[in-house]
Amino acid sequence: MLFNSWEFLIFLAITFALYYAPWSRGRHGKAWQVMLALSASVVFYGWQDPRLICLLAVSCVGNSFATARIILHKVAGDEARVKQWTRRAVILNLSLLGIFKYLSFLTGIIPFLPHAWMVAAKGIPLPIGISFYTFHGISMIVDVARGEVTHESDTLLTGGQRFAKGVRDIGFYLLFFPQLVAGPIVKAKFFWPQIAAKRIEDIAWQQVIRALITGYFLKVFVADNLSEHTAMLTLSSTTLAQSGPLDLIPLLYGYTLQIFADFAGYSLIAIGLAAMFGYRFPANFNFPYLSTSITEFWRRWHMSLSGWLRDYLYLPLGGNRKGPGRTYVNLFLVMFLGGLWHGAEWKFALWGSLHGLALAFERLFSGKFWVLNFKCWIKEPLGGANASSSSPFKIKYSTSNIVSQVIAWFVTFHLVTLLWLTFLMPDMASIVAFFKGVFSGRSDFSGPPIFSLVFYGTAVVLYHGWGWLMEHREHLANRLTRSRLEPVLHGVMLFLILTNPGAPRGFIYFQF
Amino acid sequence: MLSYIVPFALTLAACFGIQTLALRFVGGKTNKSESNFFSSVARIQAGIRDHPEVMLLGSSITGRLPDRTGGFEGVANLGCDGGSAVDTLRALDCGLLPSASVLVIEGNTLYRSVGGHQSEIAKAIGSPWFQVGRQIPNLGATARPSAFAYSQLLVRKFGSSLGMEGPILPINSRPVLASTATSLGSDDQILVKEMVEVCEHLKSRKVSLLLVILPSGDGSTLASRQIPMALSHAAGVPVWDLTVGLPANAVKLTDGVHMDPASAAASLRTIMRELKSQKCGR
Repeated sequence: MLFNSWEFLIFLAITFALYYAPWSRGRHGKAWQVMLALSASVVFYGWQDPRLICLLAVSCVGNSFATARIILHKVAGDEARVKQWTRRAVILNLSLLGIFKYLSFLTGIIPFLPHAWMVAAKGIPLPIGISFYTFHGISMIVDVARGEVTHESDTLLTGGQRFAKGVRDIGFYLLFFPQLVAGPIVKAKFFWPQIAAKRIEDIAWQQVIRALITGYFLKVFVADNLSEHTAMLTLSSTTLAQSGPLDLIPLLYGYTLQIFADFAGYSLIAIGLAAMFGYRFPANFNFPYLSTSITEFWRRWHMSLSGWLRDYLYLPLGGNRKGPGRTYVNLFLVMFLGGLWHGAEWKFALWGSLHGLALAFERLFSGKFWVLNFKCWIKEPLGGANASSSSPFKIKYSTSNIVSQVIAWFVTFHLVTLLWLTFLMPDMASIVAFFKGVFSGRSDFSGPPIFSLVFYGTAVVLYHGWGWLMEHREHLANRLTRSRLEPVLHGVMLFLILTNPGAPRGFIYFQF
Repeated sequence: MLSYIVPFALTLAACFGIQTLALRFVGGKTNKSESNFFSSVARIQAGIRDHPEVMLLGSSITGRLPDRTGGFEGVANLGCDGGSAVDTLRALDCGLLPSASVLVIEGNTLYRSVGGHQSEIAKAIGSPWFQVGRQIPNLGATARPSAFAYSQLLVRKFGSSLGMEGPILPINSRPVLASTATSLGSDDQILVKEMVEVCEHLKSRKVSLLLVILPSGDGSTLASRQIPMALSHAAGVPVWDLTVGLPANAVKLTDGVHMDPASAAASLRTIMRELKSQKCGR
């Protein structure tokens, strides 16, 4: 079920009404709400293909059972058994991912496999959202093993009804529909303490409206419209090679803006929906196209994934604690696997690897740059230590800092944009064809892409402008937020959403 | 909360108010959206309003023809970019769209619907949001703010249409009933059979049909002629190949496929003159 479809809006209205029904305030309010949300999530997930519910059930029951065993052994002080069960559960989750997502890919690269096996592997369907709920499962297991999920975990210690409640709550965490199919990846230690009875008067409506309107605006108005034109980038290599730079370059910029709008839009909708039901999700995007380095980009883009990779992969591998060489390897490996997580194709691995290389490169040289900048800053102004702040020396350094920031931003933005090519294009031949087209010297120009790019892309630019304002002119941003400007802006955005009729298009990250 | 809701509601109302005025100013239809998909949908949603006498059904080739917003009174253009006349014929047959008394069916691209292919536009016509946009023009594809902006851009660049008075195509041919059965593949035959039934249903509702093969870069393939000829023969619908006897430079194409505004207007004038003469019983 797509968030931007009529059936979802009807589903949401019914679920919301039942969730806050009068009897939800009673003694069993939490049980009612959690069971209802869990059931609604199952309906949401199984809407297109009910068979996939079986897989969800396996994940839910498997993770619940493993969690119960881990808690049991933790209480008994048996760390060896805790580690054993943690390993088993992580392997279960990764196996689900491996079979349903990567088996076809792996059979394609393993030599001398019988053809029938390859055909069978290719026939395995890719369940929507599997990358997300398996990561939630791993987060649950590891956070419990680390002792970071403690509040309600004692419900799993005893058998019978209390165990069933534990399964219910774990199922709710794994399957909660706002985050189920495309994130954000909410860590168990963040979500678990929030599981409680919720009241309608506690809903932060302003945050809900802000998140939902901005999310739907980015998705329906920006991303869906840009996608109609950027689809040209996925045409045959011949068509790409025969196109000119005036068509191709705007389309690439358009895709850069589109993928942000699509994914950030989805995340905001998920955050808004969760808030309607009383649950706080962490932000997933922090104005990533303001980044002045790839390192910064990954602290702003898909933060829930990068946080997950850091906590459950990078740090267990040693992080940066085992020397610079090992740090670069860890960075590269994490990004390689992070790229592969997006899809079982070499192009995603390439995309992740290139980002990993860029991160390692920045880390290698960042120390030297920092020292250089620091040396510049500690140099005294021409007028001496007591010179006024308007001395030409200080002004000169302020200007050069702004210039270097702009250059850093420009390089980062274009590097990220170019790397999206590996993410988007089906194969290397298409990437080569793209560059052939760009350097073809043709001057023909079709018109609509530039108009659409400007018309729809401006929204993403303004959105990031707002982000810059919040980071550098916080006082002004707060004044604007408290003023009448926000409701007026939301009114315009809702108008643009409603007058953008069209068949609901899927979200890019649903395919992962 | 009130300090939020009041300006929010007032802004929303103001936006719809401005949009309503803008729609009235352009006569209920913007010329073209920046998007082919929305442009086609807008064309259809606007085309079926106010009971046109003649409907033009076809692909983007038909979409280039002017209509009542371009000075051709009583003519509505339902051309579907990326689709064919089959999409709208099916929708008319199912009652999803109301029909006019005369349907001009572009034959050039009927082959695109062979094999059960359904275009994006066909799917859109069957969706709830299309019907909502049909009932409430403010929520239709024609009312998108970007469509207004892009229309104004095109009007400035290309100017507006030429109207009913003007040159026609220099041809002497007229519509005929295809006399011989054409040999078709099995998929083509399935499509023709389906379209024969649709044509019979429409004729029983007193709708007059005319198949035309328009001048275009997409009109020279065998498939673009075989299927309309076969349909004409099987359904008893006249077919008119406007390319027969047409001098080489009589029509200009903008992109190798689609007619420029002047050629498109001349083509439509030719068709309308024939329809008028048929009506007068010449």
